[in-house]
Amino acid sequence: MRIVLVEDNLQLATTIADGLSEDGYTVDVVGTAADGIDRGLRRDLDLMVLDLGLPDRDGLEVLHELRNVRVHVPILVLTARDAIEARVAALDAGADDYLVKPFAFAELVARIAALARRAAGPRWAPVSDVPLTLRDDLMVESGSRTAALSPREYALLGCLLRRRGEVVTRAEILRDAFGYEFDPGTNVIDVHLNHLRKKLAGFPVAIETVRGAGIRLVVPE
Amino acid sequence: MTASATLGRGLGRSFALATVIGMVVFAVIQALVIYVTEIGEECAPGVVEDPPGEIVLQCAIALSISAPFGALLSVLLGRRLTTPTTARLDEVIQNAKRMTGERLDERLPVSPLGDPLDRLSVALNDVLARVQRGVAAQRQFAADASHELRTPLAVISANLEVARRKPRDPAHWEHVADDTLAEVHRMHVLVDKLLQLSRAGAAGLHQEHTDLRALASAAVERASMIGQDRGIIVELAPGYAVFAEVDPGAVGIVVDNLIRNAIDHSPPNQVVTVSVAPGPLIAVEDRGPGVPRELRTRIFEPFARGSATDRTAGTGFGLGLAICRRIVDGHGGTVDVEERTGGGARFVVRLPPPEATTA
Repeated sequence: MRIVLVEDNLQLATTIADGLSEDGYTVDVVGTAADGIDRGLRRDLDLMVLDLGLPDRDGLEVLHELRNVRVHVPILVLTARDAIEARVAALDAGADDYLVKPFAFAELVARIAALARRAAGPRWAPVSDVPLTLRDDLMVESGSRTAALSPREYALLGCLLRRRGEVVTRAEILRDAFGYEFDPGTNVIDVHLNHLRKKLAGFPVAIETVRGAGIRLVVPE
Repeated sequence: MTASATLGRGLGRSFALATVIGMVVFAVIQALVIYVTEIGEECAPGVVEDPPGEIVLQCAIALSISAPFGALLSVLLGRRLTTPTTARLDEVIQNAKRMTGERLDERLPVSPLGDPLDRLSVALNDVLARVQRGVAAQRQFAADASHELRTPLAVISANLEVARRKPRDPAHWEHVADDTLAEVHRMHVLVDKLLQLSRAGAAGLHQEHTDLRALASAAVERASMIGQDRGIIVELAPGYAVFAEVDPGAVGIVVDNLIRNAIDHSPPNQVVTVSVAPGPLIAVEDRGPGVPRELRTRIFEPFARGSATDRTAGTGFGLGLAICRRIVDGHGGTVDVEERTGGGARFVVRLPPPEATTA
């Protein structure tokens, strides 16, 4: 995994780079905001650790510039600015995490690992921006249309909604929606899936089967 | 002073007016009473002449009826006329009570009348604005200082923590120790500078009759080693002794800092010139890039650095010029930067003339 470290204090940058290299990360150090933006635009990085007090421009501008052109690389801000306003400004500008200097190196490593995990793992998309509402009385609602679901169907739809657009494997459905750690060898998924499909007829979503891979929920834009 | 006198006169006028009105009412009622009794007597036949005692009696009756009215009226009127003033005073007091060190954005109310009370409020508001600016500057300074201290701390702790994660050979530990010591030294310098800055105010100065030229000469001597490796020469321009009432230690720091600053911004093999002139005035000139006009006030603020590139190159914290300004302010003088004729920066310290300081 390649980390770009934007830090103008050479001593600190060297220490962090050495420490992270020992943990198996590849670390590139750049000392200016311009170089940081440059590396971000090249998109050949997996994570950025960004200092805010840079000699040429403020680190916040790096965040703005990269997020403006949809570079979604996880960015951890590492700075001596500890004011609440500074933290809020950085997170609002698109930082994924914020760590204040002086910091515990173990915490930096743990936060980098957490960001990497989140970036690589299955999505957990918010369900607020789909034309479908899961109510807590096991009803699904879309406009004036409603349908009552069984607890299993409800769990299955929730699981698919969170990862809408992605193919979800049968093993993941068994584990995440039904709580099975192993495949019971039954057609339990197909039974519930059929019921769910019938109940969702006329709703603005469709559940597709991708042969040999799994199923996915498609929400028309 | 004039404002309070006018305010007093205003209140006095209100009371006098109230009293006069009260007295007029008193007189009118009295006249009325006498008139009514006269009419009564005229209607009663057989009575020829008022005996002298009767006039006194009439007066007494009139007095006893009208006096309470008059007194009551002047009290009420007096209160009525002064109420707006006292109410506004109360408002000012309430506002003043609400203000704390944390809430300095409150201001005293100013009415459109522009009367003495308003002038008082405006004056107090000015004071408050100055206090607020001062507190904000202090807060910014504390934030900047802690920011500056965090960076070497981060280096030290990261250094040690990374080193401790695995067994290392002695050579590695020696390297870690060297790096740590370098950062500790950096922090030491910074803490010293911060102390210097906080002590530089007027309260800590011990002024005495001093030869500024001798003082500058000593500073030039001290600085001669610093620029040596880059071939920079620090020279003192020829001149005569100039005396001033200053704290020699503090002004020595000013000249040291200005020379240091000039050396840091000089290209190799150039000359830094220190000169002392009657005024009294101390000038330090370099042949570097100079200071852009828009930065000429900002560079005297704590933690401001001349240009971004110096930050990575130099060891400066951006405190030297702030220390200079505080010391010179404490002496009642000024320090400015100008363009040197022929290129470069010219820092000028102007101190008050000796007779002005003694007066």
